Amino acid sequence: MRVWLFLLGVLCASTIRPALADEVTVGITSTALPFVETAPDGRLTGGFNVELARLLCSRMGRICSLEKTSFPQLVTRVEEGTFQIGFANLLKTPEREQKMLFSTPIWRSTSSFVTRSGAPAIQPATARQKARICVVRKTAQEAYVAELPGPLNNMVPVSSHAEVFAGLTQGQCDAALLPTVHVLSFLASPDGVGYDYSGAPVQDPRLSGNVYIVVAKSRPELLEALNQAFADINRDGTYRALIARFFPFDIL
Amino acid sequence: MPPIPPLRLPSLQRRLLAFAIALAMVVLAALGALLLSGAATHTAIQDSRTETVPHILERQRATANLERLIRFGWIAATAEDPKDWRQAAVTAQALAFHPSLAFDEELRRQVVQVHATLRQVVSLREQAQDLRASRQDARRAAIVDDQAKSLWTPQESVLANLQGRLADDAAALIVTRMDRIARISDLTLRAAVAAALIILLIAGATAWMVGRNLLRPVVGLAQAMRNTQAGQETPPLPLAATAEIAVLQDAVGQLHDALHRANLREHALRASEQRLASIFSASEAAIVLTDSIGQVMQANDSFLRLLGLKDTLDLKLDSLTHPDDRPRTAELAQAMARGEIDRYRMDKRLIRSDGSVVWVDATIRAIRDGDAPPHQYVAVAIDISDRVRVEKELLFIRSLVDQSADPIYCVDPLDGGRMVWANAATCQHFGIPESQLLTMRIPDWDPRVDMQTAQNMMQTALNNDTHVLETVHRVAGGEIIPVEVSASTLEHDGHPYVAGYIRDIRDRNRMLEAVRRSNDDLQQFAYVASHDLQEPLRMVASFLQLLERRYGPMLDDDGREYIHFAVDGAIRMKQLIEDLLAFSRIDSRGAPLAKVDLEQITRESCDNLAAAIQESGATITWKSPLPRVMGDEGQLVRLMQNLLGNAIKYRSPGTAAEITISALRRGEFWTVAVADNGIGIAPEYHERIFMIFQRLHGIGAYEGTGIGLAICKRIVERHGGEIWVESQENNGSVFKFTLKAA
Repeated sequence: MRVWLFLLGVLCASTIRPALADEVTVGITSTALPFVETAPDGRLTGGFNVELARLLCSRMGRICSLEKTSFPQLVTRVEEGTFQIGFANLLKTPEREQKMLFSTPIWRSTSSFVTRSGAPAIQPATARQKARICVVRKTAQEAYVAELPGPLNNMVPVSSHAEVFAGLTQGQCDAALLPTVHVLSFLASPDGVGYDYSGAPVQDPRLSGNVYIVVAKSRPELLEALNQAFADINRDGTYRALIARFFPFDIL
Repeated sequence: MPPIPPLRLPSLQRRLLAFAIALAMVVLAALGALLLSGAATHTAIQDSRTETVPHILERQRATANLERLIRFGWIAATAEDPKDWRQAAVTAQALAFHPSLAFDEELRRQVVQVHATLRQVVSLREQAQDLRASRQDARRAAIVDDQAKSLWTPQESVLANLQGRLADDAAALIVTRMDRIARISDLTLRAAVAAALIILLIAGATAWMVGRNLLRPVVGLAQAMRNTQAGQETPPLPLAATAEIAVLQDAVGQLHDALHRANLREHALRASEQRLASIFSASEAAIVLTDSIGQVMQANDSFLRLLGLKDTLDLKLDSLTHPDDRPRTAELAQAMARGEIDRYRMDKRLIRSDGSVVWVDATIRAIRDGDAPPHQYVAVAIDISDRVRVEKELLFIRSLVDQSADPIYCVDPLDGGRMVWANAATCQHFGIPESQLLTMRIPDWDPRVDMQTAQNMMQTALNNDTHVLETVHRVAGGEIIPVEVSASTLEHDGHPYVAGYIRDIRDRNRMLEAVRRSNDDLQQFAYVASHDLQEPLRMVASFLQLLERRYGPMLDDDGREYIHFAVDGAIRMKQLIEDLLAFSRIDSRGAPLAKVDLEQITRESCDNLAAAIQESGATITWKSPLPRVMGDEGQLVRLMQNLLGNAIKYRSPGTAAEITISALRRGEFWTVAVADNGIGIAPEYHERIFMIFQRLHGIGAYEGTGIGLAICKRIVERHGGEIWVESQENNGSVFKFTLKAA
């Protein structure tokens, strides 16, 4: 009898294990609109990245568990593998390539300084010398600003875009360096009245270019499935429709 | 067919292999070209996917974003609500610097310029908004808004132009890519057509080669096989172009040859059977076929004739065998039945139906299957009665020869004169056993002969049927005895032999020696007598002549006649003595034989007889030149003189003598003939005339002493020749003698 139970247990284990393997934990940074929308209770309700994650998981046939997190936390957990997929609008850097896998590009980004409207245009080379700049931690913008000459206090690292915008409106910083598209919702919001892009985006390859979904280093097969799913939605127009739903122009 | 080494034919397999390789290479080349073409097409398609499509998509996105930029710009320049135109302006700025509008430098530059203008437009809208907010001058605000709108409007054209350019670029990209794909397709099509043509060409060449090197030869071989099967003449096969066909043709040729040989063998067998049947029926040899127990199954006519039979019913071969031959026959038959021999041959006697005996040379052969006992016998019998009789006669003659008292032997001239046969008398003659004699050669028993001489003797014997020589033999004990050997040439079975007949001439020599001594004594006596008689005879004649001269007148006629008779007798006696002296001197006073001219001798003889010739009116003729011979010139002059003198003397009465001299060569001798037209000699006197003092006529009829021809005979015999006369009475005479040629 015990033997039969043991065999049944082994059988159940062998049949259950694939189902567990299909469950994917997806980390999504709580960035500004239109990438993430959250309910008052903090629950993810929508947004470009959320919809994209759900769409890709559906196309992959995976059961995804979406989990909101901060950008630094997301980078750490993807490196650890506790997040198998991460949506954080990451640019590719050599350091990050050592720690995680990058999908095919999902859109293209630039980075721009945001200041109050009418303020003198910020020159990137002297930006940190003349203004306090808010940036999100562990982002390419933080790395860029950190290398700029200027007082250390003039770089104000925060955890999220919301904190960056709050820093601007509350006077903690004179300018912010953010992905250009991320700022659109802020500028269109009542809080963003009186703020504007400060000139053209920063011309630095570290701050512009393709944006990727990241995958845990230990899940290359997941990356392959993810790329295939993205190719599918890109080819059948689903992705362009998704873009049109959240952005005023084609961000690809 | 004999192999033709030198001829190395190409291999069909190799040719096909070469064609296959060529075809494979072409196919591979074609496939390679197609693959390359496909790869190029794939590359083009891939390029289209990786380059063209992204470029087009890029341009589509850019075109769409330009469209949005136009819209945002228009909203920014014309919207009433500041919230709207500010958000549009912000969005337009984000859009203007988005990478989707920066992939092309010219595009990026113009878009940035448009954005700069848009910034001016927004600035004017902010001024107008400030004017309205301050309620200072609404009309002024409207003017500023109009300025902003006017400032923006041309930018739409710029952006529209950019859209057109992007569309043109996309179209150009598509056209370029499509042209490239079209070229690749065209090249692919051309390559495919060329490959198809080459493949067709190779296939055609292969078909032609297969037809020429395989199908046609195979059809020819098939036709040859059908002809061979039908027994028809097979036309000559074309020269094989490949080794395989050559092998096939060789095999068919061997098969054809085998069938041809089989047919020939069948024909030959049939012909042989017919010949055997003919031989069996027409053979002079008696042929009989019996079963295993000797019961006659079949016999030919010769067999019936040989034994005087009418048929062979219930006839057993054993019953025909002579009783004396049956044991030996039975012994051989048993050996044959046991398989020890397959055939035997023996001379045996058969009993004919009339009881007479016939000797046959019988050959009996067993017919058996493998090692089984004989089930039939074939007997061939040839009547050898004549041969047996001859053999018996030969045996009888052999007995006679063997028992002859005269030694007879035979030597092999080609084996140095080795004695190969000797009768008992020969063994007795030499005192040596036959076995030893048969190992000896002529020099072993003739001390005068060495090996070279023996060879010469053999050659002489072979050149002459019979050769007689005197020699000596060494007999047992070393005694040398004189012998006369008569050697004759024989031939047996194609091999020459010399038979010798030995005659012991010791007694004859002793007798000849006695005769020679007697002759010498007689000759000495004759010489002495004639010489010593001449003196008293001359004295008697002289004194008689003196008596006649001195006392003749005193005597009467009778007395004078008596004296005359006495003188005449003395003179005749003197002549007789001189002739006798001359006769005796022929051997004792003769000169050595030398080469002499017979014509000169004849002339000298004629000169000596000139008076008689003139007196008688004789004519002597000969045909010059007369030969040169070996002889004593003086004696030969005397010989010719005697013969010519006799021809003149014994001429026919009233007829002048006509004497003709001629010579004819026979071997080593010349035969000289002296023919006349004289009185002739009766045949009964042909021998007598050569005897001394023999006269055919009375003393008064013809002068002479009757010794002339005797002298002639003696002279000729001294020269080793012979003399004889051919004559009939009253019909002239021909004296012939032989002299050895010079």
